[in-house]
Amino acid sequence: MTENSHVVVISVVRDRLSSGDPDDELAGAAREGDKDAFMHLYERHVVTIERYVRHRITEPADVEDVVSVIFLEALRHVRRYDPARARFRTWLFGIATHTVHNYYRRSGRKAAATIDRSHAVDDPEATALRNETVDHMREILTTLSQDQQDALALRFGVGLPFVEVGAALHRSESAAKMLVQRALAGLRRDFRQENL
Amino acid sequence: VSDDPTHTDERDLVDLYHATAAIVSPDYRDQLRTRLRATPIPARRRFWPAFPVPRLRVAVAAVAVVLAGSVAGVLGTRQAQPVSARTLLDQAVLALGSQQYSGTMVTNSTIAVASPFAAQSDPVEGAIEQRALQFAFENGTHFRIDVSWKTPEIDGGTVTFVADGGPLLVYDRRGNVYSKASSYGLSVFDLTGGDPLSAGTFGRFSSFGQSLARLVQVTGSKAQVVGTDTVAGRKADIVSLQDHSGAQIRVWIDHQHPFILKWQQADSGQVLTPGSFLMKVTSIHYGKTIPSSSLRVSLPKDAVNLHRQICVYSCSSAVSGSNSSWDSGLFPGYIRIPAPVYLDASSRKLLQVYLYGETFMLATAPPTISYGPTSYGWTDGRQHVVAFRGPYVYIQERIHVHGLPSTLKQGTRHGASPCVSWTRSLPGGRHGLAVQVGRVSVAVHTNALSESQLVAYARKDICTNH
Repeated sequence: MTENSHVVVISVVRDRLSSGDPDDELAGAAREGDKDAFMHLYERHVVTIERYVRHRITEPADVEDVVSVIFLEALRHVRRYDPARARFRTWLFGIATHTVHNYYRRSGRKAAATIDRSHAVDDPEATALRNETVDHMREILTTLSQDQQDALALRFGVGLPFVEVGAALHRSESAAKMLVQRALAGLRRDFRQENL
Repeated sequence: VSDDPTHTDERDLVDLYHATAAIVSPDYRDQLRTRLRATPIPARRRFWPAFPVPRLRVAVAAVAVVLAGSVAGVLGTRQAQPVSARTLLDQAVLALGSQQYSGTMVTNSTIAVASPFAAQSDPVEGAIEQRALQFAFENGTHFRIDVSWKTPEIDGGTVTFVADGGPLLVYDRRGNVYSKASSYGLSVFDLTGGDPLSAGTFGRFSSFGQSLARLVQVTGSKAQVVGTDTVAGRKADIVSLQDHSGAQIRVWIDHQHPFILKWQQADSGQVLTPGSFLMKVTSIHYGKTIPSSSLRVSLPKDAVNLHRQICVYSCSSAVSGSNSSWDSGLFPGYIRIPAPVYLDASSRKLLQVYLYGETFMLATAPPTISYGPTSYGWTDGRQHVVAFRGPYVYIQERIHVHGLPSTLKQGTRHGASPCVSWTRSLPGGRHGLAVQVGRVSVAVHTNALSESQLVAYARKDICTNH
């Protein structure tokens, strides 16, 4: 072996492109170290990830921190992403749920959602009533399990199909449906009690 | 929420639930974006570590060669004995995953694809692209590979890869464009029938070899040695395989090296319209005596330098200016074909639009996409099978220095220079459009638009905007 030695690897492989999911190509490139591809993935998913976190964490500043952690973790581990096991979005939401759980574990906070005042109307009485109702919802949400809150956030906050909700929570599709149903049943039951 | 708590239904709850979301300013996203851009993607462990010290690298290479020599010795011993089917299968599977040959080499190959788009009277349309070549090259590599690409109706041409001991040169005759590598290493050249040479072509690399166990699992019981043959003057063993889509594959493996000399494949037609793929090495020369003339490529004077770096790890640090590996903006000379947006509102209800850079677009009814276990040799571990059913529009942009290929200049001519179009009827109720705008050509196939609509699309959306 001399300094002129070399290695040539040639392979002919066959594949079909145009899978229809741009994430496939982007994630494939990101796994190979392509930062621009990762940044495209960031742009594609930051809003939905943020939506999930906004439904899971109270403090706006904490939302921003957690979203940042999620994407930095994704960047750090993107080479480990295995498309054979999950879609990229599902994998990303797996990181997101894990990060949110860590947030509550470390901060000792109780999971709750903050109040969105954007629904305020001109009628002060109606606004007060609305805020009070949202406050009730916030309180009731804290009584749900982390998984139930995750399921609600992924299903209704983000709008994921049940199959992806289940995948993000490492559960089956039917188990994800059951989580959501039970969470809704809990909310419904507690609202009744609040108003009795 | 209803005043009567017993009337609280799911929609009310969900509406109220939405109201509990925290409000954040999106400003932080800019900071996060900046932070992400500044944070490198950690390097993976590679079979061939990027040793910073050349002498250490040489030492490791020497060890690798000793090991390779041992393996070759073993193979040589085996070749003297009756070769078991299992040995050949393992060899074939290894070759399918990653062909590895240490030495100088000159080879010519042809690849022919019978595209489903050329299929007769079948409403199911599919897109087959070929991921063709992977190289790992180190400083001092000498090789030349000429690949002639033949895809009826859609594309065709030749791409030449030459490494003369220095940076790799890639010349794409299809578009009269070229690019040079700026660094050495392991890289994948994602040469497809559908895409022009681009930065993205070089944006990936994969590790040496693959999980043999996984590939054996994939091909496993459906593979068998069916005979021997001679390809390009080389003795070859023929292995028959079947992939998960049901496609029948035959590969001809060089009896001396685990190198594929020929690959013949026909899709099953279960999902896609039957198509076929044939790669054949027409000449190959192993060894150190490569004529220096074969390593010289005379670039035409008007050849366009893409100024795209061939990326080994990250194009983002290797590409100057705003052109990144992924969002590279307009490819030099390309016009970025516009989507026929009015189609979405038509009765045809084309539901999905796929836009892939400036190269091609598919607009279609919801496709059937199945994700199977791995295809051979690709690292993402699964195969995408896409079948487009119902109305579709396929649009592809290319640079053709000498104008539209004659196969596209058929039917009725419309317009005048510098924007000329041709329309024609195709089998299966389809219509075709070919547009020439200077050096750019656009080919369209559709079963959703009439010829007059295609002419209108060319006139309004392509010719007048460019």
